Amino acid sequence: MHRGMENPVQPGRPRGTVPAPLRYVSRRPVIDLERVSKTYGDGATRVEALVAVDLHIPAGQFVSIMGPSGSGKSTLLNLVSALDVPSDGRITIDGQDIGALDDDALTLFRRRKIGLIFQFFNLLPTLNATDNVLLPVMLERAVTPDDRARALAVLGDVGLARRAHHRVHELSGGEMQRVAIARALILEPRLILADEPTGNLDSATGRSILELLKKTARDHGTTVVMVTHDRTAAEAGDRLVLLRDGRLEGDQAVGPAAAGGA
Amino acid sequence: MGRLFRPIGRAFTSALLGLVHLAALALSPWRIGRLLRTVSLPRFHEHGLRTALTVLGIALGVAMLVSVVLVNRSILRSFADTLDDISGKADLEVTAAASFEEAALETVRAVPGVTHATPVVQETALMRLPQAPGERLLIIGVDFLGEDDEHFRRYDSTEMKAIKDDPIAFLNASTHVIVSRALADRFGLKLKDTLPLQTPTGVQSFQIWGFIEDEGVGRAFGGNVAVMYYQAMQVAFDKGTRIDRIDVAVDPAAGPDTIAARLRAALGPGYDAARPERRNTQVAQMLGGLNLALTMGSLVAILVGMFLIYNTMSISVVQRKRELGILRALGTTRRQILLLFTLEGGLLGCVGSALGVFLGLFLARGMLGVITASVNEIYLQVAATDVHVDPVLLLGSGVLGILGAVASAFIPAREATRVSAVETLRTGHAPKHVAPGLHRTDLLAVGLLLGAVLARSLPPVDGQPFGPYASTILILLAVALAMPRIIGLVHRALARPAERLFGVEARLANDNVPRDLRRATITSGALMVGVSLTVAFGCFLESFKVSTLTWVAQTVPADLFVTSGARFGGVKNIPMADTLRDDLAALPGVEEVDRIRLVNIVYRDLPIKLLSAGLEIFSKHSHMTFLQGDAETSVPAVQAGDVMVSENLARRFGLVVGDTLRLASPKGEKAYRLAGVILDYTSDQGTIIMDRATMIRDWDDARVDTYELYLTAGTNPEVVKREIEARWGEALNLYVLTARDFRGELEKVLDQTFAVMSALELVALIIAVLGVVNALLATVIDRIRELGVLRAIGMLRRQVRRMVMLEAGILGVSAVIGGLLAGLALAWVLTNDIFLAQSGWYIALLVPVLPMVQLTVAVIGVSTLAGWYPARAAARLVVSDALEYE
Ligand SMILES: Nc1ncnc2c1ncn2[C@@H]1O[C@H](COP(=O)(O)OP(=O)(O)O)[C@@H](O)[C@H]1O
Ligand SMILES: [Mg+2]
Repeated sequence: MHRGMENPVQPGRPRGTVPAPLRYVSRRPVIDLERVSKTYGDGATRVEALVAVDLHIPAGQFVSIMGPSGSGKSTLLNLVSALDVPSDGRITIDGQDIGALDDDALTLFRRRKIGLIFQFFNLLPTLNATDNVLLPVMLERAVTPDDRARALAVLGDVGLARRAHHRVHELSGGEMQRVAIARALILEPRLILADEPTGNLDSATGRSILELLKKTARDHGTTVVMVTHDRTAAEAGDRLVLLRDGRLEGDQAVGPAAAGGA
Repeated sequence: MGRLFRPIGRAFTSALLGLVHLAALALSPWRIGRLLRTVSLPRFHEHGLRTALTVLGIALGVAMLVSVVLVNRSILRSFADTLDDISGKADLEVTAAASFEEAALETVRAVPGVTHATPVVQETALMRLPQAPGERLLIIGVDFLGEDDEHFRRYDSTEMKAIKDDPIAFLNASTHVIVSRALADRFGLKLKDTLPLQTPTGVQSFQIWGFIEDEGVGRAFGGNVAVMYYQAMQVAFDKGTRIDRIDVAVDPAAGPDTIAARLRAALGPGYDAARPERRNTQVAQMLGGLNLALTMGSLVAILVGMFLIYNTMSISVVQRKRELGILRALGTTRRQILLLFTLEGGLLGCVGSALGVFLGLFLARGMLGVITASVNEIYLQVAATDVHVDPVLLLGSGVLGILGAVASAFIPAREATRVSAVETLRTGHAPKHVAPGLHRTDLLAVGLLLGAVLARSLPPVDGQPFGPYASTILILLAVALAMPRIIGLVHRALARPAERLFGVEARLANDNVPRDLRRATITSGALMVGVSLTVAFGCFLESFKVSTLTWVAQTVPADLFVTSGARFGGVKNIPMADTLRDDLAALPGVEEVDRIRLVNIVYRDLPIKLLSAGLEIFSKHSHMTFLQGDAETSVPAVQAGDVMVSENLARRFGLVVGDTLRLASPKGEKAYRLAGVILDYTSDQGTIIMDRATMIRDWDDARVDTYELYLTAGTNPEVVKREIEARWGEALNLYVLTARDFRGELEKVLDQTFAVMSALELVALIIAVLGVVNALLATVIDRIRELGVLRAIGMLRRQVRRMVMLEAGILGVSAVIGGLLAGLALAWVLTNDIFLAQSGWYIALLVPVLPMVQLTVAVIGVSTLAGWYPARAAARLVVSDALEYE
């Protein structure tokens, strides 16, 4: 529908090689928050960033999180990303209780199960696009020619086949986010988590990035959780979760799913 | 380990920050002081550890300088004080090349204008008291019965008065002495106690007849002083009727210079009359090379400290661009910014220098013992026990530290002024590589190298090779300017192997190095300076050792060396009356015995050595290396009364075979024909070599410093050594060294002599390593967000740690490469120019490969370890915070 300057032509791989869409198939939640709270500091500086949040996200769902600034969106996303552990409550991701893991286990968990995309400064400026995509692989093991081929394929999927060997500073903002998406995909994670991935982009570019995320999620059956400020962006997903003052304020289906369900 | 270090580190950091606070507070009356307090202090706090390391670096540099100059000064001062205590009131002293006949006294007294003249005999002896092991005693023999002596010295003691009133009993024996009260108190000596002393004729028991108070003579030589009647002393020390000098007082109306001229005329050639202080100048000149080397070494430590300040300040400028933008927007002028940053550097310099001066005072106490020991071993006997605290030197060193800090802060400060009011935050900046093609810095580096080559050949000033020293600095600067190139090369060379060997961490580390090329340059540049100093000095020391030991093996190939009172003949030992030769020769297995005598003489105002040996024996065994003349003609000529000189003396005075050397012997002036120039490492001042018969004939000196024994083939030197020790060892306090011992001891003396220099290199290296810690802390801070991303997408803590440490290691690799290059160049200048000018010795430069490899490994290892603290800080970042960081 909306095509911006960043036209995601996707010659990529033939449709047939993509695993069958998994969305709505599994009822078992891939993300499971039970009465999760997070407080920072104590005494006078104590901040309750999240209060007793219950949230269950089934595999394959594209969930947007919205809320005013300071409402706890990033905190929630950090917890789900296994970047942080809750002060109270229980978080299970893909069957793993996050609270039970030490730092190394959390790190490996992130590396293997989660793809992360940030608002800006996602990439290492010293590496070219392909190597940035391959970074999670490099952290895991020595890169094989197969890995390289795969990285190029994923870059093709995100429409950057011709930018594969460009340095980061030679890419536009939208291209950088595409590289970040490709990097998030390289190890075929169960989850993709994005904190305002379009926050730093003009609206047209932002839209194309959202399209890409959506399509990726559908093609790979990946669960996506995205924090955003932007109502239109939020409606790109299947479900919209609203936060206010660290509490769940709303949880509704959006997009075609909502339309179909209504 | 961390648990132990952290509280110490924290206490140290806050103590230093406290000092910085105080210094800033002192400036608060001025506007810039307020700016300093509101803008700079919080900054210092935020980067407490880095601030502390910078201050520490400066402090160490200044401390080295302070201690070195204080020690140098203290040794000279101690010599001057002793001279002053003994001969302070003499207007002139009459001396010859060595000791001379006391008959000259009559001539001196007859010169009009001489009001007082009195003889002085002076020796250093070894005490053989069980409670004073190894203690040396300065004994002066004076004519305290003559009226003239009173004019020069006062002994202020009741016993002395009694002796003067009734001298007969005191003069009855040649072994009656008066010792200083300090000595008596220190070793519990009482009146009429015996004091065993090592003399040329063996251990003699002297008897204490009185004490002198701790003033004047009584405090000379650190208080280890005794007084005898000079004629008694001549007997006790086997000096015949010779004296060492005549103290002279002159009629003030005539003036000392006129009288000195009259004295020289009256005494004839060979004698000299000059102010006693002249000896201070001679000693200062003798120790000048050592002093200059140490001072230069400590200046390098300060130079490395300056790198540290420079780096800290430029990191600070980069990290504060935004703040600077705001300051500029708020109306702070460029000049104020310049002043502010320069002052920040100056402030760190002030605190560092103050601390350094303080530290240096302590360090000097430790260093004094080491350096005095070396001086006593190779130059002359001094008893420097107290550090002479010279406020001017302290102030000077401190000011130098501050000026260095201000100067090195200036360039970053100027850069700070270029930040515009609308400076934006840097993000994802592109890595900069050294562009190919010639740069201004390359040209400058080449220019500096050319300058270094030119400076090398500048002639010495006052015998000191300032040109070559300047050349070393130019070499260091040139290589420092080439560091970006070296880093670029290392970066490229490591690109593949690093990743293959150490994984992605190494790749990321290597990629990161050229991102802030200037920081990398300064950091590894400072380390390069430290490494190059170590390399240069290591090569020099090895070359010198090899030259000396080879010379010993070839030229002094005796199987056993027998001395009294010290391991080597020359400075510390007690010359022996020649009583042992026949007994030694009669020992089974002894083929021949050579007798070596080393006399301190003054030649053309330079204190040098006059060496005599039995040329017939000596030339039979020794393979002398002739630089002029040859064994066939020179040796017979020397046996017939000519002399040879050492390479360095010939070089110093431009002597060639056939020249005539005029020396003032106790029997008047003697002229010797120069028959040869040989390689000789006896003294760095120079040596004249003559036959023993010539020395006995002209110098009336048959004493022996070293018996050199040649054994028959198949004789075990250890057996003969034990035999000698058993028979005469105790009585004559003999040191018997086999050829092997001799080399070992020689090596030990060399190592000891250069130990302080090695310590200086080590300090320079330590300061440079502080710089590595500093720079990596900054790198980590600059990359907090990036580290957050890496951690978020799955980099393990240990991978982060490895990455940061490997980056430090890569800087170490670059530093080692630069350091080896610069170091070898420095070694060349050091051996071929500086050492040649200072000692007159030409030694072949050798590069000890194994130690160089060890150094390389050690420096890379240590710099990698220097990354440990920053690495830990990086690994401990809270990922979610790091991601929020801007
Ligand atoms: N590391 C932290 N330390 C202290 N307070 C924090 C920290 N991170 C977030 N907070 C606080 O928690 C609350 C929620 O923050 P955040 O999750 O970042 O909100 P959002 O992303 O919705 O803007 C805010 O009040 C914020 O100030
Ligand atoms: Mg947020």
